[in-house]
Amino acid sequence: MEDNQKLSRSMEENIACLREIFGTSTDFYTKEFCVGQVRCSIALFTGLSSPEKLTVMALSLLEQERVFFTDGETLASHLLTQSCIPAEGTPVTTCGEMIERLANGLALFLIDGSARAVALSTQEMPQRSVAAPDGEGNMHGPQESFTEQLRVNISLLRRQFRNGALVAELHTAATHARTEYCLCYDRERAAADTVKTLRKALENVELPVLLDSTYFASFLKQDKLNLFPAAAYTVRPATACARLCEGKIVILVAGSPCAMVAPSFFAEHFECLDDYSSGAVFAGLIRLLKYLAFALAVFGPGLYVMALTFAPEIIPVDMLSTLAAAEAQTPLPPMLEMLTVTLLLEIVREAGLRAPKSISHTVSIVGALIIGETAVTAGIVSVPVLTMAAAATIATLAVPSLYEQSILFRFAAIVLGGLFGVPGMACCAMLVLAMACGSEPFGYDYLYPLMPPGPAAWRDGFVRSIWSRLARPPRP
Amino acid sequence: MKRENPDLYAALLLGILLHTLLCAQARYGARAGLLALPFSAAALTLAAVLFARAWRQLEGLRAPRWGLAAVLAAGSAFELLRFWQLIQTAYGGAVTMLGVCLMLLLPVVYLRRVSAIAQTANVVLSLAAVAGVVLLISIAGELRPANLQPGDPGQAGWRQALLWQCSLYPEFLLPALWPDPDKRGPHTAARLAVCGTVFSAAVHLILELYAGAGARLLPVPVHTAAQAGTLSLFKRLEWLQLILWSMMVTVKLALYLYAAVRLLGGRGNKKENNAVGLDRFPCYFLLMAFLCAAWRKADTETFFVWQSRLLWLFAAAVILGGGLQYLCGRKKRC
Amino acid sequence: MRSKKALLMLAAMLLLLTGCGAPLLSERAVVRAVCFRGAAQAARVSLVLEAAGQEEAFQTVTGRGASYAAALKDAERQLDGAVFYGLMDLALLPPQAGWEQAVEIGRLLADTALPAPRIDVFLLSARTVSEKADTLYAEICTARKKYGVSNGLQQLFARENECALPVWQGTEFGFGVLRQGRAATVWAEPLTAQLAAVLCGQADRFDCVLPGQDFSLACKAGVYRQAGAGGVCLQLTLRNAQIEALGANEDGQAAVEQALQHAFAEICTQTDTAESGLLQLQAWQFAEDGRTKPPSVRLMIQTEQE
Repeated sequence: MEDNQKLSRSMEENIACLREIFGTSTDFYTKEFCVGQVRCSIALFTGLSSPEKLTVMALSLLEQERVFFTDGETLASHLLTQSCIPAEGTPVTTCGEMIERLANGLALFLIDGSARAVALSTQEMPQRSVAAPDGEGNMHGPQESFTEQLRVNISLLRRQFRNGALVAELHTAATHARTEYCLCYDRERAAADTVKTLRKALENVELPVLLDSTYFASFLKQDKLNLFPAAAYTVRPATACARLCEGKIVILVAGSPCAMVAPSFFAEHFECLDDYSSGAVFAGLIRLLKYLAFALAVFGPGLYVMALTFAPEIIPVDMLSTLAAAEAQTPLPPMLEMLTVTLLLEIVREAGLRAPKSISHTVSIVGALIIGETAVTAGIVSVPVLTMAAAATIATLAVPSLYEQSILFRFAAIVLGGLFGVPGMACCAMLVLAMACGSEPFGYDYLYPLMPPGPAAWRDGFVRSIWSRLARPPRP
Repeated sequence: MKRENPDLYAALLLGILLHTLLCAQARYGARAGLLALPFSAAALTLAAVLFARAWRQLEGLRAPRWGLAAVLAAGSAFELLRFWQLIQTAYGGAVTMLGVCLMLLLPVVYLRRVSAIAQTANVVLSLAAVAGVVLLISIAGELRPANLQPGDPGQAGWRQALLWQCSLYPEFLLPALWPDPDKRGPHTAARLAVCGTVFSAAVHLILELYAGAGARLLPVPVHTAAQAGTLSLFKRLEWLQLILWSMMVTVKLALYLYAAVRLLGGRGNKKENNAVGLDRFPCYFLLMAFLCAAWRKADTETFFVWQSRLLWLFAAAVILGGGLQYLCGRKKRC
Repeated sequence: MRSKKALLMLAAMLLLLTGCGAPLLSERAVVRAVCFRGAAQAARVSLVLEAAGQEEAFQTVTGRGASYAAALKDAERQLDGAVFYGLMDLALLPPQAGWEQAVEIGRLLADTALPAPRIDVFLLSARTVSEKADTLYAEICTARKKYGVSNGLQQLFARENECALPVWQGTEFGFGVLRQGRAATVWAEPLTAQLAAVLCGQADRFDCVLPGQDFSLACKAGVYRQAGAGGVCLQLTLRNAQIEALGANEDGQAAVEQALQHAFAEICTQTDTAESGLLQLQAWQFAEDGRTKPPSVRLMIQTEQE
């Protein structure tokens, strides 16, 4: 059976076709009945569609209509164009469309004598309600988050974006499960060529499965060696809406509460909704703190190892003897010690994330005790190294969207700084910089508006201007 | 916001500034340097503009392209060696030459695109400007106007200043190789020449303010001055300077690689925006490692002196050849 | 293809190991000061080391040799672990050192002390030459903070044939000028020494008792040079001067000015300002009318209270 195979005029053949595909599935339901002289059948998945809704929306209304149908085509035309029953406007004409509509939770009205089936929106499937997001903590602003339902997510955007410029294009991914995804953009603000490029890029993506919008990310990268993400992610409709207003494109995937925003810039990882709710001065300070936190998270441990091993002249004299004594008491050289502690902290984090909630507290306590207390007392790791590693880990969480990059760069900094000293740290810094500068999401500068330094960097880059200035369009 | 027509001016300027920052010795007195400034800037601008015009007539010829590519390859190797020698003066024996070469060459892999080189150069130039201000502030207490050497530099001093300021670096000639030369007027060459010579004269002035007559005795004087710099919070700052200078060296290496690929007729992958292809990098790394190993004991300063002389000869030959070609072409059309 | 990748990985790992070479911090001997004593042919060099985890703050190791370089090498050989000069901040020269010896020691330190630290250079006096190096270091560190003295190794080379250095005298510092081919000129009297240091730019304050023991002076000081037709005027500004009367005389301001003028005259006489660059006058005079030898130089004193 092929997707393009047209529906038969015989209802039995169409039912047989569906039974051949779904026959053994217990949630596949069909019921034959007559409308006038025309034999019909409904087909639906009981977990996705509601027979009660079908009865209320369609069957009862159909019974009330004072029309006697003698052939299938007349009935089909009536349902599609004349009846007030809320059927889908486009008829189902192929097997592929049948399967797609059924999988989307629609009920199918198969009519004997017509090669067209009518789809009815009778979806009723169990879903998570719109709740507050787990991540992306903000004190101010809406506290809604996306859910797994694509259409619910589109409606969350539509609620915030009340002008007619929001376009939501539905597409089906070339995956085995034919997962749907939606391209949302502001028709007036998004660059047409960027939309076209992104649409084409996503259409060409072939995946075995698409469970999350992040699966698309690697296909959008120009340079596969570049570790910086090609797109940003958000679970907040408010953030997605803000990005739409900036001319970005939001990609929603069915079954994923995580929306992808493209193109994404480096500076956006240091922004949040609270920046625009707080005063400009405080918001600017917090943003600068985040940049410092990122620098600490990436380079802090590496700089410590470099200073201890190659450049002790950087260390204040008062601390020198403390650090030398701490180093002498532990068996590993500073680089290996720092790598070990960083790896251990990552293991604790991963364990805390994956462990069932009932024992995640235990994991935290055990991790803290084992690493924090016992390892130091036993002389396996030293306090300064542990302090530095912990500070870097905390600093990483200040910019959670760059977590993966922070960890990878941190490991590189520790290894290069520990092996090569100052040239090693220079190499790491240059690698990070070259990756950031070399990244070109859809032809845009990844470091915009930070570099080249100009008014844009101070308008809404390193810091934020006051709203009365932000509200004015930027000078060209 | 959109990257269109990336400009390599910042990368070229970084390469020129690097020669001053990493020079092994202060070459002339501050007074002579300031006097010679206008003449050297004019000479360099003229040379660069005439070369660019003449190159268009001769760029089909293989010999000048390969010659310049060889100079760029040698220049890259000696740049690596010079930086390694600088690291030796600060952290002698801790890192091998191969290690330093690897650390400088590795980031070049991410600078394959013209836009990447341009944007990275912009960022590094901004950082260099900030670092320069920080360095000046940190040694401000050591700068004494009384250290200025009052004597008349004389003919010899003035000539020496002019000679050193007129050092012709490949960066002055490279704009002739870039695509769409008609879009770039002589102002690029003029800006490069003026900025380079002003920077050189300014650095020599600061060195004389710092060390007086001893400025000419200091080895790698800018780095020595950086080592003396402290701010109240940070006792030692020269490691930050070293990190910044290594970034500048990396940008320069990426620029030379791109120019060499263009000279040798290579065209990068269209998808990657005129990039140097990734497959060329193993050869490039091996070539640099080999050249550095072969020349590790060579005197880098002598090389750069000879490089400048060679480039002046080369530029003169190209200008002459290009001029003849242009006249012959004009005669034929008449 | 697979073997190529494996070879590349192996090459990368080997290359990574090309970087390992630095000793651990606990294995380094951190030098804080170096003290040169003895004559050039029978040199003694003492290294003052940071003593980690011990009762005393510093340790001393002394080396001997036929030259200062040999003595330094001998001292380094006695150390446990790799010597590290990066935190060194003081070099002491022997009291009988001339300009040539000072430059020789300066060049030795510039070549040997890596990564080159920020070193202040002091001359020892006959009174202090026999003290222990770690005691000297502790005393001079305190005095440097108190008197605001700072010069740097480059001071040894700033002028072509002379250099000026503070002299450590046990409780306070004097000031000396070393010139090529001539005997050193040393001012032991505190006010004269501090005035010379301020005029040279190696100190920024006065903190002493005046020669007559009548008054004590404590203030910040700055010098401004002005060249004119009549010569060069050195404007010495005393900021927030605290003049305390120690005797019966109550006119402290006048006493201070008189003492400073007397000290200045002594400096001018003993250094032969026409040739010496001590007062750093040449640039200013040259700027005025092209002459390299100023016809006259005078000191003008003014006080400022903030």
